[in-house]
Amino acid sequence: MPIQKGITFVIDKTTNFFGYFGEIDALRTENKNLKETNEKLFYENTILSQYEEENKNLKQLLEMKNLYQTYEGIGANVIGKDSSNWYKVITIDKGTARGVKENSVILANGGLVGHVWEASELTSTSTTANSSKVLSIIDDRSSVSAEVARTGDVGIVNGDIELVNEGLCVLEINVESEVIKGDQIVTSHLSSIYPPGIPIGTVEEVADGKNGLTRYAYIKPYVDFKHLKNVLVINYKQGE
Amino acid sequence: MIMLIVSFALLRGNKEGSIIGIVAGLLHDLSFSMTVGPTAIIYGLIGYVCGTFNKNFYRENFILPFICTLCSSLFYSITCIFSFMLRGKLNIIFFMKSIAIPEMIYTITLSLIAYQITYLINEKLEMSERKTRNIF
Repeated sequence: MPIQKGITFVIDKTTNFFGYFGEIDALRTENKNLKETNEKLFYENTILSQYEEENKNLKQLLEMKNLYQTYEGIGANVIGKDSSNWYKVITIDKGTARGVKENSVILANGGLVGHVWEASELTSTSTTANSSKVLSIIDDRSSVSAEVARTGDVGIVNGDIELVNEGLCVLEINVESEVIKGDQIVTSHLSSIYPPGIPIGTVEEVADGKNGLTRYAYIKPYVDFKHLKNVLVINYKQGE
Repeated sequence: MIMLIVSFALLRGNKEGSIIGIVAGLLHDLSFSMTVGPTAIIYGLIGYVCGTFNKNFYRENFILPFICTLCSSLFYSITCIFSFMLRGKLNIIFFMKSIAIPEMIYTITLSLIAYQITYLINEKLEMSERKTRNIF
């Protein structure tokens, strides 16, 4: 009996041992299939996370559109950014053919992006012909009439090339104004381009000017200019 | 863009260099600039000036493209700085240190690769031109 047991043990083990070799091909095929599935899932996952991001952006834009229902709103995509380090001009894929006009206001991420400097007059359906150039608020040539939401003090938000890399702009305001860190800055009622009350950003730092007449507040805009994809265009006329 | 204009201008001459410069500048102006013309003029000038060196250097020599790209990039930056100075922004040290010099460094670094690519393209162009000349 022990001999029989021994023989059975050896036969079982040997069969199992050679069985492993028999399974190698099947395992290789399975491994290959799993790798392919993994790549496919990884790709799908990347696409889905992009969709999630886009969904968030579009939801924000829809919220903003509902917020400014009184104005005509048009959704647009950013199709170009100035390649130079000097200016911050962006191009959007909607032009006059879709109702975008010169000085239309551009919004995104719950804040102000800038205004349309030049809307293409071509009525072609192609993307390149139907586009507009947008001057962002962080561009050095931009000036926006703004006010401190808490106190109502009015000043001017200017883009500054020295602050562009940090994504900041500067609010020039009367030295007597009580602007403090964390204050919200919105567009003022004095502007002929921007409707009043659009959030621009929050104050990061306050400094007094050398001349003793002006105070400078460094503002962090709500808009992430580096990752700007979708924007909302609204047409505003003063007095509406 | 500057390195491509410089490379083509050096290999093809001032006439073609200035044409490439003006077309490239116009494309840039039409897409991003607030007025049509400034970049076209600057790039056109760069193309013309660099193109004048076309007959006076060995194409295999990489020093001239290197120097021309450096000077062109500096020229472009200076024109930009000048436009900022006209608006009262006088912090030239900041402009040079934070924008002009870094821009110059990566432009001249990439110009070595761009020049080699344009050199190959130009050789093929010249080959096809030679064939056309043989026909007539």
